[in-house]
Amino acid sequence: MMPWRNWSDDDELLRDIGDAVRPGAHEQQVLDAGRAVFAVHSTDLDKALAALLYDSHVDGLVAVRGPVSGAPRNLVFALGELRVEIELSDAGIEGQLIPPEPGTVRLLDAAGTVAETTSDEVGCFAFPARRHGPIRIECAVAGRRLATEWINS
Amino acid sequence: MGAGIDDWDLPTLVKASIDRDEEAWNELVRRFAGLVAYVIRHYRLGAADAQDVSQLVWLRLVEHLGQIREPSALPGWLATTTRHECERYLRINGRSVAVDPQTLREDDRAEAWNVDDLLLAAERRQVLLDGLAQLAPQHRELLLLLAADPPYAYAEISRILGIPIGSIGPTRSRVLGKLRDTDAIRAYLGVPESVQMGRCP
Repeated sequence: MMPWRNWSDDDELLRDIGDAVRPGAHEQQVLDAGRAVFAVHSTDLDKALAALLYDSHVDGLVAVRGPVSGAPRNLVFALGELRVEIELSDAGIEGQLIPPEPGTVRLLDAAGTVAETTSDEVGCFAFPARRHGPIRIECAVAGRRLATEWINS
Repeated sequence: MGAGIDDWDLPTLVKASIDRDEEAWNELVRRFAGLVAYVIRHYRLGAADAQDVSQLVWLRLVEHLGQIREPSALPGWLATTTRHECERYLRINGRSVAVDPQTLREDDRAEAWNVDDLLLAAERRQVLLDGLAQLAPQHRELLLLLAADPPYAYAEISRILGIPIGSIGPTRSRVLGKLRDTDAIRAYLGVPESVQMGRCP
């Protein structure tokens, strides 16, 4: 439990006032980030969402030993029978749709679509170049559209 | 849109945001940016990391809007989501939360903060801001100068506000009393109005 300052005491109340009025670190940044994402990402609020099932840096051995710098990170997203597996490394993003399907695959970040590619007959796709910050994968396969949950890359 | 959007209640803002009303969304962001920033601050992330986490939290909220059944749970959801993202971020970037090998317990100051404390801290801050907004401008200005960091010398305050140095001390305590007496703070502390009646007929 936090020791709250006592507002009956003049000095303590004044200290709380000082803390309250000073814009907290990051507050403007958080505001700006919040305003920026809506126009880009509110267009399709009911798209099917593939949930994150596995993240090697959180659930895997790597997480126990502590991340090795440069070690690839493997993620698995699922929606029903459909899976999107991706590997993030310094070389960029490589992924596979399971079951294998040719289709359109897009990479998005907070500012919108970054790149678009196609998956081949075994469902593989790739986005070269390492990215930082929130990303998601969207795909259109076999007449279905789905997006992975957002993750921090 | 009739009443100002800052008067809209939470369910209305959430519903309007689902209908892609950008103004309503911006108001949601304005109301809760302090809370999100507050949580981030306790994990001592750098500016770039804080940027990533805050983007992620809002992106998740956009995604999550349609599933909100109980809008009053939104602050708790935001605090929890921000906390989880900060922890995940630290873990993935190797600056893992310090773990005591004896107990395997995460020994980090941020860990001592539960969501209820975070929400309460954010609420107390909002109550103070609301209380300050209800003061007369010259009183508010005095408190802001007194609360500044580093603090202003009384001579400086006297010059800025054009009041005698000797009156600053007494005015300080009188104005803090007025602040405690604002509707915002009385309502928060649950002080019934009748307590004040004797003093101010």
